[in-house]
Amino acid sequence: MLRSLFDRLNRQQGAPSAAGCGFDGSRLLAYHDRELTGIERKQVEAHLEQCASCRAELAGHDRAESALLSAGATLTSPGDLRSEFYARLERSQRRPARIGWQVAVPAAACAGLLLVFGRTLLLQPPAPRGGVANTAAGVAPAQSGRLADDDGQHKSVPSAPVAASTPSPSARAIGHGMAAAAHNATSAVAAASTGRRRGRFPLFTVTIRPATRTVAQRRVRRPMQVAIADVNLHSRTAGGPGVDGATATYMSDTAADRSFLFERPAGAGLLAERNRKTTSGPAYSLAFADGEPRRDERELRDSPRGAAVVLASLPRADLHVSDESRDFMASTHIDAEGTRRAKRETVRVEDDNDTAAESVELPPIP
Amino acid sequence: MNGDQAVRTDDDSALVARFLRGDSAAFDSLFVKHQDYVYNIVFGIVGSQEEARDLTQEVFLQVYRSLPKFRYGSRFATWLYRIAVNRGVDAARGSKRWRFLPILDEPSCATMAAEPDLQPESVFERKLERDQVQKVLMRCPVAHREALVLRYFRDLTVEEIAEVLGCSVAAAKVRLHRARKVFKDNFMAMDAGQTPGARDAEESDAAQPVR
Repeated sequence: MLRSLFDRLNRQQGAPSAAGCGFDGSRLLAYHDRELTGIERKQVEAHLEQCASCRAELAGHDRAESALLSAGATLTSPGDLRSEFYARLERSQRRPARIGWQVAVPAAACAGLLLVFGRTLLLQPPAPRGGVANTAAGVAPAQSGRLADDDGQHKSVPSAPVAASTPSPSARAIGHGMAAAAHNATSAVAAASTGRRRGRFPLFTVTIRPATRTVAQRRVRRPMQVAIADVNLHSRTAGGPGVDGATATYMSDTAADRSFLFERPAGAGLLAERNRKTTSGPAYSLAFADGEPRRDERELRDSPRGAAVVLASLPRADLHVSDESRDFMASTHIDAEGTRRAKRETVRVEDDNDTAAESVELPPIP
Repeated sequence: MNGDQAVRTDDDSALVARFLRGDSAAFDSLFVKHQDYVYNIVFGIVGSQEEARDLTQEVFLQVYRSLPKFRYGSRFATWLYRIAVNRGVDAARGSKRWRFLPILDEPSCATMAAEPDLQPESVFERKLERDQVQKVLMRCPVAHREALVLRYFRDLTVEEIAEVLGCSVAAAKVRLHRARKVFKDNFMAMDAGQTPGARDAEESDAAQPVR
């Protein structure tokens, strides 16, 4: 039955041989695979005797197959794959939990709280251990904020007073939760949060800087302008086209000042970590190799929404900005010869439901 | 051959069981045994050594974390290859969306040096041929690549391919047939383009691969 279904499908597609003689290509393939028997086989053989193009077709299948088979047989994985894997496994186990959405939201909220009440909190005795469970309280307002955001409501109620209206012991517990999260993540720093409106999710930035990589993550929850303000590559003159360091800053309309996107100090070795499985929104990552040309694309996967900026292909660097569906929106190209030759681009990141992009090119940096 | 495979399958199950009992050496055995296969699969799909290396590690990281949830209803290898194929396809589609066209890695001296028992010329020729196969693969749609890679790089039967891809045997067969046809057409076109005096044809082929 499967066979007949398969044959029917092939007939529907026409599946003629490339030769153009009208002979059924799938029969030729079946003959090639020695699947035909008896009369079918003889029919094909009879046709082959008089049709040069089908003979060529058959020979093509032979060559393509043997090439594929030998390619598969000669390919082996790189020798250091195993050691690299275990190093990576160990790293991932050492970092108990990624600073994810659930952690980052209360963390961001309490970063704001700490700014306001930090002094008082620091002077108070630590909260009882059970208080950590109250961290969930930090999630609740955030989630309701997100729902309201999806509904498209715009209420100009500052978020800080809302949080501040909760009893101070709970706020203290949240503060400890954040401190614990930051401590666990090997010198991870959670900062920011300038949510000004209820119903619009607060912006926040989480910067993770373990020894081997620098990853900045940022979730965009409102229509906003992101301008790539400055990309700086520190070229090494003596050692060829290598890049010693790179920094990128961005500017948004909501945060009046420039924010630091990523930095790579000179001489610190290879940075090539991709942030694939993030559940906490877009990630910006940077990768380059010292001293050797290398294709390296860093991309964002599984990003629910937001903007992603990727700096890639150093020493020839391309800075990409994409929207939540990972569609290409804008890019900036930087040559390695100059230390600063970035174009400025402004990218509009629309609301969650509207990913229309608008790109405005500004004059290049002099 | 079949007997061989059965033994290997049993080996895998035993290793998985040992790993789940806390024997980390068992995982290492699984890793060593399957790393080339996984690498082959993802390399065939994404066409970049570096990316394949990265993805192979990610596949095994995922396996390491998900093994406790592994159900013995399916073979370990099938499950593993499914993860590898999904990762590879995601990466290939993702990079396409990002407009990073497949870039083939330059022939690496390290790879060649890793095969010391062979004459340099033959190693070089094999590498050229393999690169050519990869170039052709990268001209094929991703759905075709995964079928071809499983069939020829991993030597799976149509039934096994169907299991890995999660489709019916008939669908797998149709896909494989189409993939072989497309690969063959591209392969022949590229081959013809490489004969002396036909360089232009090669370029125009590259611009318009047969789909």
